[in-house]
Amino acid sequence: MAIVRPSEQAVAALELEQPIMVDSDADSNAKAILEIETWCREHQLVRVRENWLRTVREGGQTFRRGVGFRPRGDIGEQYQELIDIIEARVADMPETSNSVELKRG
Amino acid sequence: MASPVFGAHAIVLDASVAGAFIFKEPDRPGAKPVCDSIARGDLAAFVPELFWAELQNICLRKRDEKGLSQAAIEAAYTDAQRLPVVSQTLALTRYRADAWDLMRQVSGVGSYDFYYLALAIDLGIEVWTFDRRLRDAWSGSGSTMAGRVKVVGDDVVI
Repeated sequence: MAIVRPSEQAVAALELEQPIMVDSDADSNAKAILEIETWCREHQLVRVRENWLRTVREGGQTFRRGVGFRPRGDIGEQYQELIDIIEARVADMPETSNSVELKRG
Repeated sequence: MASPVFGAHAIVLDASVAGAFIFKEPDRPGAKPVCDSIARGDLAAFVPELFWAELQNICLRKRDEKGLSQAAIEAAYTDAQRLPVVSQTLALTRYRADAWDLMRQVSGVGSYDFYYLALAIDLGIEVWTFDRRLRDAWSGSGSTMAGRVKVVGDDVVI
């Protein structure tokens, strides 16, 4: 049992930070999760946590599909700086609400 | 971020949550804890590229309809770009058929929202939003789509 997709060539061509589908032909969900988890680590990716992987049928075979991505990571102290900037900015700004409506074009 | 043993908790982040965060909307206190988790790397946030167009629209309409200054919206937009979200490029192309298939099933929801949903389905994760209409669009239909959309503050609290 192994990871059948993506190919190493496809991984090399990956754009940073894009999610990537990872297919395993393992015969159980648990085995596929372990395989995909391991494969992601080997490629400096993080697996999206799914406890029950989707199954995909192609060419008469069944594969289990996980998702990996390259995380942007903890922005640490920069985040507190961002919060401080937002607090200072909104202090001088009239209160506004309703981004739900405003996002629509 | 250290690679977690059992994978990362990931969501698709709606622009309404980011907008509420950068403008500190008083009726949306749930936005900050979500963004805190994203900034800490505890929560991975994916967005389709049109997230940025929607966020720009929020900024422009805050200026044109809510009276914010150009400088204020410029600053807010700059701040939004510091959030470590993962953008799915080419989402419009990739999910065009899936989004259309979803949007044909319900009414009262903006077409862009279905791209968020299509991305979430593809990645096997949830959309987190403040948009109750998106969550409620499938109510009564028995569809699993409603469970895929969580309203921050109603369905998820951090």
